[in-house]
Amino acid sequence: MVEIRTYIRHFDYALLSAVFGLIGLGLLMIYSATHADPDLPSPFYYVRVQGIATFIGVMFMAVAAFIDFRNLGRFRVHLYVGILAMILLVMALGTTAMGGQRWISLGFFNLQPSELAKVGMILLLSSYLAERQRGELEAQTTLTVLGLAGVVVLLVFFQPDMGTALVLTAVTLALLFLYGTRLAHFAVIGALGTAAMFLVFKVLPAAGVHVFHSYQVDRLLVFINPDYDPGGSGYHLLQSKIAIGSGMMTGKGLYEGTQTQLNFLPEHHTDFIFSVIGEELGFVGAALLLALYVIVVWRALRIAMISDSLFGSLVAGGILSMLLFQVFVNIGMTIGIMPITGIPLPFVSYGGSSMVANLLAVGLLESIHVRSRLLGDRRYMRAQNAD
Amino acid sequence: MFGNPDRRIRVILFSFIILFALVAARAVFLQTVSADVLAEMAAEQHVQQVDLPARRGTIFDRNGTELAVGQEMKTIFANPQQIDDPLAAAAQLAPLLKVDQAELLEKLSNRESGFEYLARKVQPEVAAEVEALKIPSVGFLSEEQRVYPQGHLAAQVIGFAGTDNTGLAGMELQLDGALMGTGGRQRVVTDAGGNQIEMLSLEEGARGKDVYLTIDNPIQYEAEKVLAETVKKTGAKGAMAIVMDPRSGEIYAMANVPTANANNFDSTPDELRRNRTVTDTYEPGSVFKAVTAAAGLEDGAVAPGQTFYLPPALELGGYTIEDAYQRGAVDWDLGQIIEHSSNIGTVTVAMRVGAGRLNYWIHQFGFGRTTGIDFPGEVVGIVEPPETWSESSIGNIPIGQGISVTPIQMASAYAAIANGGVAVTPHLVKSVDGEPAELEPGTRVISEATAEHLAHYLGRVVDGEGAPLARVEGYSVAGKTGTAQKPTPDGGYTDGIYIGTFVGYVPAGSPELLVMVVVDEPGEGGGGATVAAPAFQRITEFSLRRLKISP
Repeated sequence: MVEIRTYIRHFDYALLSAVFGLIGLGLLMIYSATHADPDLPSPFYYVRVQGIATFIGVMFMAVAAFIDFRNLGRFRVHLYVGILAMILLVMALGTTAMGGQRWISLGFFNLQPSELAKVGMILLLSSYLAERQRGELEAQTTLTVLGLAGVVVLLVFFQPDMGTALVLTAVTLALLFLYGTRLAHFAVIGALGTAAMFLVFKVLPAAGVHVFHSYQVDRLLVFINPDYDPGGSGYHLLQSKIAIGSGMMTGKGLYEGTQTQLNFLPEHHTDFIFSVIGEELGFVGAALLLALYVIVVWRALRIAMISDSLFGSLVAGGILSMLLFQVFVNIGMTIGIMPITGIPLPFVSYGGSSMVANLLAVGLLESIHVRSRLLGDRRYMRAQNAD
Repeated sequence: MFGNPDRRIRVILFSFIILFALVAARAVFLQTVSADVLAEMAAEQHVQQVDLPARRGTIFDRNGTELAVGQEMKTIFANPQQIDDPLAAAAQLAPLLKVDQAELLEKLSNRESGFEYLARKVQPEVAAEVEALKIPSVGFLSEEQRVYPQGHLAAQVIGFAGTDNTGLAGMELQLDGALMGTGGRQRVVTDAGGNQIEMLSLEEGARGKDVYLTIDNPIQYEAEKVLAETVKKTGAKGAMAIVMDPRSGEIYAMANVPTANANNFDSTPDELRRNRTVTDTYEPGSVFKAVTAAAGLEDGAVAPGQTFYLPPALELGGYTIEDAYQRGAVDWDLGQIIEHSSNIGTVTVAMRVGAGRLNYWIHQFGFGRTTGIDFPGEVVGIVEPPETWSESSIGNIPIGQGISVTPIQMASAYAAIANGGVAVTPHLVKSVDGEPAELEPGTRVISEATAEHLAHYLGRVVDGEGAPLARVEGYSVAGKTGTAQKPTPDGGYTDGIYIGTFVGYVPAGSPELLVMVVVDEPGEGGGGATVAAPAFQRITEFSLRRLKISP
């Protein structure tokens, strides 16, 4: 048994520092964005909930870091059934509540299973792929992964949670890519996907066959994404751009962002927290945030590369893709280069399930890191002994 | 070549580096190149310029009684884009604001609009109740509502100010420039809900100026009361009265009955809104004979005491002129002609004066042009020039038919006679912001001697059989009756439809008070002497006491 001290010594502290830097910055900005809300019982209300979520997340992270991630692959069937069960439970609760619902209330905490499903899917798909021999039954492998992921993606999509469905799709494709799936498969997937969309939205309506009426498309879009607002479209985006742009180079100062503090900026502590950073801390603050993400990405990449197993590489690569995709889509949405989809900014946006899931992912990265380092130590020692 | 996961990770990484670069570039672009524009948009959103309307000046009567005052009211508005539940909000607000719930819901559901008035100028207590509901995005503004504490009193003279607090009629319109003041401005920080968070700058405005009118509240009240009773008793269509100081032109009262409700002017019919003593004309009838008499004396066409043979009837231009009462042929001097209000006598004098000279004197007394009274909408009346007179005109115009004048013109003409021949401009404004109104000096219209002769004749009208009901105990009254046939729209006259006038002044020796009463269509047997004279008597008696004028 490896000594705890040795274990802890092998943690990737650069990764942990960057992650806690992001969480700290997030707590500060959540406080700034919400402390003046007169309807809150306390100015620290959101900060406290986020802090509790962080604490729970750190517990999950520690557990994930200390257990041997390689054992997790054995539970992939249980994991998959568990994910489906939780999502179906949420949908059932949502149906009885006469409306879309994405979470299960645990009293002090609203658990959003689709967030945890992201990490679970990375684990189970990586485990499956790692056991498949490359070059054998490649089409079957690809189809199995697409099938497993497709069911979850569709369930989450109709939950409705388009943001998470998109992340799951991106992560699945990234895992297939990292595994080494033939590019021809991607060509087919891309062609079929494009053709299906083209058929439903362009060709059939042009041919007079309306799969959806235009108002149904609008409704569908509103259904999938409550932020989509045909009447006041662009209000959120415009407010976000105004907030970021008016922050200029050094920002208006913490707690001094007029658009944030005066509530012109919507969803300022959740999906649009980057706009708050941009307004109050300016480009300097935004650059600091991006720098912290660059550290996270660099360390995740390094972990994926030093892992001695395909499983570890895939998990690390999947987590890397998940974080990168979310960061890009979230920030891209606040500055108007991506559509508004409701994907939170990892470690920074207010939201407990996302925080727990992301910290769990960091725990997995640490676990992979520690295994690789211990292995390195042993090889080193073996080499020493051989002398 | 893509078989190695490490390589494929690099591909993913490389793609995301490009995307990150894109994000950074876009952020730099927003925060440098577009920053000025976006910062300006931010400032525009949360810094707002709020106009602070000036409070309107108060209108007082000559004694300081408030006639028109501004009362602070609350206007309630909402930003429909920020209402979560328009249905519930409408249900809560409708009973408080006493408006239709469906109408309110329509306003609150209008997502296109960022500002909707829910109720304008409600009582502050109502606004407080609405505020207690704590409906987000519902806001309040202070707005001033014009209130007329005296109700109907002198309503047509005071006029009214509209919803936007500008004068639309009467003295409110006439004095709008002085009353409205200058608005202030403030720059405030507002949040997305429109709530004012902080004041950045304040530019104070100035309250409108206070105005004192020459109107005397009790006399105005008495005049309106007497007219209302006269109208009620006789079944007349309406009545008017002017009470003024003939020496200065100050108007103590200007009454129009039926009255209008100043606090609800919008629902008052247009003809009742007008101050008809200034804006409407009528054919004055026999009161006009004083003008003809003055012309005769001034031009020397008639000498005091000179008598004229007056037949029972006079043929002129195909018409027969008769006096109001059947009589035989008489020899009367000018005094007797006025005392008996003889049509034949007046026309006889007029013919001696001649159309051209008579026209000159008509204009000299101020007919055919405005008196210059400080009231909006004064009309000039119709005075035909001699070139257009028909053959019968010399039998009409001298006795006050075929000429149309405003009551204020007639009152001013008599004021000139009362004032020893000097005409002054009638006026309603006593002072603005403590500054007394500027008065033009009087202009001599007729000689003092002529004025004295006329005063003597007019005194005989009241003392004798002309208008005994106009007598005021203890005072010498000079005055003249008039009972004019009302012209029909087609230009003819109808028997039995008259306008009765009495205009007179006291004390006849040194007049300090002039009162004119006009009763419109007083009905069968009603005329200047029977209907207008008693009203004159009551108003005069009250005014003399009120003004403490000694005999």
